[in-house]
Amino acid sequence: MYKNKILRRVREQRLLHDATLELTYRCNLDCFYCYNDLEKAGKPLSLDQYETLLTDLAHMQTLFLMLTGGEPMIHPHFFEIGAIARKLGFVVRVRTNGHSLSPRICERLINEVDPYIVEVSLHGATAETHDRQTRVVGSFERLVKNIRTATEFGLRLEVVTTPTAWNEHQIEAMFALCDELGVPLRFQGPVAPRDNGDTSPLTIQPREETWDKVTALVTARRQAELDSGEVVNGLGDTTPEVEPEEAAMCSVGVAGVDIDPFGNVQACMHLQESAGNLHEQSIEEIWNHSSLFQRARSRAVDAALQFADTPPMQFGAPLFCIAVEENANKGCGPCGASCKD
Amino acid sequence: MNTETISLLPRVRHRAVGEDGVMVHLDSGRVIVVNEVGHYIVQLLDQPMSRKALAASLVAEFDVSAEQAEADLDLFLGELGNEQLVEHSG
Repeated sequence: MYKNKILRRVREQRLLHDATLELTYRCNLDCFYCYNDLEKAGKPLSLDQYETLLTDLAHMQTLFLMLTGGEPMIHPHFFEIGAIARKLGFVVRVRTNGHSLSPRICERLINEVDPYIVEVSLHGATAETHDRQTRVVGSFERLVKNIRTATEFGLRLEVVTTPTAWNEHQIEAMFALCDELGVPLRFQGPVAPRDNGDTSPLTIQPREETWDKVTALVTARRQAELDSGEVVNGLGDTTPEVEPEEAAMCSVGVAGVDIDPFGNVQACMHLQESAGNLHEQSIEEIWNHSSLFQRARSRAVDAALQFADTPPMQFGAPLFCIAVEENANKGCGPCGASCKD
Repeated sequence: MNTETISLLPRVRHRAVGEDGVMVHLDSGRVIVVNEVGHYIVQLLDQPMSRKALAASLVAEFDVSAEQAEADLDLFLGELGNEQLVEHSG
């Protein structure tokens, strides 16, 4: 009922169901393929502004809140913001590189933020591969130790990885590592250009066959879970749809927003056009009155039409993201010049 | 005198989505959809309340008899209990 009735209603009635807060673009790692535009500038939102924002979102009945970055936990007010979110009844997800998940931080996370899930990033099954991506020696050993700590504290973790040319030989090994750690592994991708159009991360795109391998492995593992009677998740839904919904490549523009560290409200983390700024307007005004969200939705619908007869595919990955497409074609950086021409 | 109160467990979150309500149990990850009346009760359960006070609120808010309110409430609280979304104290 949730997927087929509620989420559909969310999209059709444009109810702001989830929000992503990019608290900072600063990070304690230095990932080669980081997608953030580190030169993006603006006046950061204050703690008071975050409190106003979260109060407004709760009033709008927004349920899901993602705290991300950069590395969200190095934001000076991360725990205060998380505590406000908890008090206001959001289902909080924290997306972190995991570098800071010491016992003390895990304890604070549980006691002050109480997240539903903490997503951590893994870039390989060995220190050599992982640290090559993060460009911080020792980050792999520290991450593995921190994952053990976080699970011991009772935090629900999900490990997220992006297949690259550097780690594609370790797909099975990453599964084995996560199995040993007792945490699920999720693949995302493709390797994307940076949000400012810098395409240099694309040089480590994996081979197309790697995605075939990932898809086969994920499918086989899911089937094994079903065969063993394990409940995969709590979102199982057998309610039939009454009539087909308008096809769109994703739910951009109709269910959620992304808010950058400087108060810009975007339809998506990677679509950099701003629908308005929280230094000037409330989230409710921006969500209800900006035309940007409708335009983003139209682009997602148009993109779906492109793949009406063939499966979506982008840089070898079995999906198509309009933001990746846009950023790959916007030029190499802030100058805006289309160097490819 | 029965002083038992009922409240949502601390790790349960909820919001209105149109005329329905959505509840998420952070421990199990389960998502439960409730109707408008159900979500009205869920909102009341953010604070500990007695069964009697809950029934009185239903009578005051909706066009329903006390007997019907108590019967529906028992059924609904039973379902919330089965999903381990509420706790009883007192």
